[in-house]
Amino acid sequence: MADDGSSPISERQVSGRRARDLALIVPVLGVIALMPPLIGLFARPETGIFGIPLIVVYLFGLWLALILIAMVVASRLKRAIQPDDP
Amino acid sequence: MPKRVLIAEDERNIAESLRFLLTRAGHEVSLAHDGAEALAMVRRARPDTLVLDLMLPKLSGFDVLKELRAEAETRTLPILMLTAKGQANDKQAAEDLGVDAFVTKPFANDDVIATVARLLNGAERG
Amino acid sequence: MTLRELALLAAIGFALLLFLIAFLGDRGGRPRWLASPLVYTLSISVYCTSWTFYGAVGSATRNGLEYLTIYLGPTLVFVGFWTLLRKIMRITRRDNITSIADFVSSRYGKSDSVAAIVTILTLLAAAPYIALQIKAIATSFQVLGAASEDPTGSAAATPDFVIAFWITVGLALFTILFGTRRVDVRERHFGVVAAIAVEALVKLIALVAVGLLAVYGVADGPGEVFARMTASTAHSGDEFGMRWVGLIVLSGAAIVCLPRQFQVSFVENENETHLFTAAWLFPLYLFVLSLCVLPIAIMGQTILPEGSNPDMFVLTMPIAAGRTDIALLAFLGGFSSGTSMVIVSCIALSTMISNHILMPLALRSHQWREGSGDVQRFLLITRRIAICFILALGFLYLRTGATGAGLASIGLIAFAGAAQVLPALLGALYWEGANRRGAILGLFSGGMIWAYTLFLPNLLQGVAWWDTLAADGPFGLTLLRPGALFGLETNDDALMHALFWSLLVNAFALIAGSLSRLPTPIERLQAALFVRVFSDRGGSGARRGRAASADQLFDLAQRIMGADRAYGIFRNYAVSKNETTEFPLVDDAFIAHLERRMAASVGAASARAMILSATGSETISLDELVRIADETARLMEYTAEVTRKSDEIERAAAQLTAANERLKTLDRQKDEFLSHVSHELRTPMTSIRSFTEILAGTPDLDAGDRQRFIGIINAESIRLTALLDEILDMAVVESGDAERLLKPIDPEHALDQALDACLGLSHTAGVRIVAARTKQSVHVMGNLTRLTQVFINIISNGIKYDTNADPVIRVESRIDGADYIVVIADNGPGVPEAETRTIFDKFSRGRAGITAPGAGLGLAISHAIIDRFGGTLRLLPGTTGAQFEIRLKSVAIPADSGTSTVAG
Repeated sequence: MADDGSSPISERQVSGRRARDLALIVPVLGVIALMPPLIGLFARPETGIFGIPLIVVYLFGLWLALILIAMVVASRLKRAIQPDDP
Repeated sequence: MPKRVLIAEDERNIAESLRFLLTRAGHEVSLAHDGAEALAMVRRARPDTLVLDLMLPKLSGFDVLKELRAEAETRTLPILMLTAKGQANDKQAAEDLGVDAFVTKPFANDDVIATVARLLNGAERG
Repeated sequence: MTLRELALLAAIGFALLLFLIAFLGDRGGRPRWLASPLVYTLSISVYCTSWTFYGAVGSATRNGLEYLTIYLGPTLVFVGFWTLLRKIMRITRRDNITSIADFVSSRYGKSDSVAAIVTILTLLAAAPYIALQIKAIATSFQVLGAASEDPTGSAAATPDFVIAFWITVGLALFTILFGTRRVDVRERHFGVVAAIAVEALVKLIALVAVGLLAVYGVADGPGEVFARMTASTAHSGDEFGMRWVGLIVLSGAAIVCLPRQFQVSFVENENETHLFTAAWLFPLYLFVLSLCVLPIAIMGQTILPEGSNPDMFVLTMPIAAGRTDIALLAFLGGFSSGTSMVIVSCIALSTMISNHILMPLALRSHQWREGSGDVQRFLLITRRIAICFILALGFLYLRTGATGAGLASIGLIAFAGAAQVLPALLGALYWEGANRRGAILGLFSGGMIWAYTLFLPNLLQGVAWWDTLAADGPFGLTLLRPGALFGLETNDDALMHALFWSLLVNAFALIAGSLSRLPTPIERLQAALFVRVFSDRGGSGARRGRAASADQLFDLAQRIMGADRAYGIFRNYAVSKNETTEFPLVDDAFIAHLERRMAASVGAASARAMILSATGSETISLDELVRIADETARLMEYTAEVTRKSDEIERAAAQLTAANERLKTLDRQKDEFLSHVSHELRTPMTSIRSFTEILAGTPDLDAGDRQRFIGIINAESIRLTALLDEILDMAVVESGDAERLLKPIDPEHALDQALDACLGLSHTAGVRIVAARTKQSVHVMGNLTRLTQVFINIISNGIKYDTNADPVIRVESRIDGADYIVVIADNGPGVPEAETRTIFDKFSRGRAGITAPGAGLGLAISHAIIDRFGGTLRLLPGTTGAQFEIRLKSVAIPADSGTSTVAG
């Protein structure tokens, strides 16, 4: 790596730090979202989106969101940890 | 004038034989039986020659020699030392202190008589 | 061909395929794809057992969305992998951890008891879980076989035990074949992992196929499914209460604490970064499975008759829909999920049983100390036996009929059991203060409560005495009813009740137990190594971590150098820095100081490694530390050995020096003696020669002189002969020939003769002899002539050396007990202090400065003679004048020992 390559490194380091913070916060947010009382707000059998019960949309949607965030965070962390990985 | 010879020898029989021999050779012989007596006798009346046994009671022949050589009067006194084989160290030391002649025990009588005669002549000349 | 035969064929064919995959996976040149993050993620999917495959639909049918909790918990754990999983992973890989039991026990000071408790706990929890899998496979087989007559699948309420048995045997065979091929440090099983991954794919494909069938084959699309959903399962806020929370926590705990999950997630892991993929891919897998469960549950309820077993909807729905091909695929999916769970569980549990229960026992019995080959064989054999044992346990559990409840509820019993490890695990990772006592108390109390409130009620359901106990409490104590401990009513939710009490008490016991005593050094060390696994790594190198406290460093130091020395170093440093505390402030300077001091004991490299590990700057496994300590101990032992040897050499050298000195003295004495003898011989010889020459050369000698001279010659000849005799005597006495014949003699007679002989001499010398003699008749063993010779020698010595003005020799003989004693004393100057030692030496010339005739052999000869007689001749110490004592053993019985004085 060239001497003048300090700026991409620091950028990546910043990105890695943000990913690390996300990695700590996302599961906590996930727990909060999945636990009462928050989840109770969505447990309304009478409401639905396109015929799908709201709670089902909420749970699976949240789940999918968690998975997507985890995917992004994990790939960033992996890059931060393995800088020389092609 | 007969020369005076002092014999310092603790063994009476040896002293006896020496006295017989030297008397017969025409010298005036006196006897000392130990180192101290020998020293006293020399100081009292200086003999012309001293026949000194190396091993003497009370004061060894070696000590007597040292004393005599330290005194001006007896520094040149001719001394014949009787030694035994195996006393090379003592003999060397005695030689350094200026013993004029040595005779090894058991001695041949003629040796002793001749040596004493030589010492007496030398003393006369010196 | 009936569906039953087809299913059997498919199962056998699939099993053979698995064997092949496992075989290929175990072979040397493993394909690269096996080491991919995808395979890793798929292997983690062993989490989804037949409970998921069949039971989730059942659960969804019965309790609506509650089944999602089982997958949401692991999802949260994996999404949050950075916090928990990565840490466990790093430690596991670093320390070559082999199981959850190994992990927890390593943290708590490599405690055998912690490992054993975890093993037993998870084994108990696994039994119903394995029974569940066997039941599901057997039931699915039955359902498929009886599909034409009984489309509801309810005929399979009681499993066919013959089928179940053969399934168990097959599972045992596979597990033993691929799970115990060899003993690896890290307990990895590539073939098994490969097979598990394939099975995970089959599970996924099968369930997705069934799900798609439900949505598009049975229903008219998602719209109809959800339209029916509201009708069939009511969703109210009630579902998302304590049980919802509790189940998410429980499943989150299970994904880490279940032995098989620990095995695939951490032990079998190839590459730490695979976790970064599994972090989202595994939740995605769970997401897809869960998504498929919902339509199957809804449509199964719709098209299958009332009373159908919802746990078998995955099979019966395709059959009911006329799709036997998909039913067969579903059967294989269920088969996969069941077998993979059993196989991995058995491997993980058998490893734990052999490593943490059987091995410690064997080690304690001292049988396996030698040779690692034996240990390897021992481990493999015990693992095979353990696998059979675990499966037998599962089969027996199935036979008790305790698995009558739904699949999901049985699985949750196992989860709750495994979750008891959670407090100890979290304490291990995040609380340095947690120690062995806390871990044991927590695990034990939690495990007991779990067993009492959940495991046993399930196992012993319907057993009369248990039912009574459950209803009235033990000994009628209603407060202790297993279903409502301390009166806690949970609306018949035994799981939540058990979970609440067991985890509460478990965590409390962990904390209380840990706080009740200070951690041992090894616990502190391991605590630091676990809790701070990531701290201060990859720093600049110059900077040392300062995480270690003075106490911790002291523990380390005193293990290396001993408590006293370590304390001295710490105190001196603190005093030198004018610090008021007992131990110094831990800064870089002190650490460097300590490292240098320790380096003196263990070498620089070891000292550095230990300091680094203690300060958290570098990690080092306990095994390595122990090895270093062992090597150090060996080194010290070796050093001690060398020191001892060199001490011996030094002593030998000292002895040699002493002997050499003695030889030199003897040599000098010999020279002196020879010189003396030569002088003594020369003296008479001189006289003899001189007088002989006189006699020969003086013919005119008068008769008197001639006679006198001849007399002298004669006397000197006699003297010469006597001298030669003396020397000869010495030689004879030395060789001991003359004294070989000893007989009883009267020593007083010898003394009489000696006194007579000395009479003339003493008279001449003017010495008085005073004798005080015993009147007793006494006999000693000896030789009369020799004894007389001894007495004469000593008396004449006294006469010779007594220079007193009034010389007196006192001769006293007496009997003292069995001893005959003669003391001969003079009142002369005595023996100089320096010569008292050597006076009896044969070349010694007694009494320097005093010249006396004789070769100086007399005393040596006398001493040798008395020695031959078995007596002693010694110079009495501390007397004026010389006092010689001759002591001989009397052989006559003495009467009275009176003395009389005889003037000499």
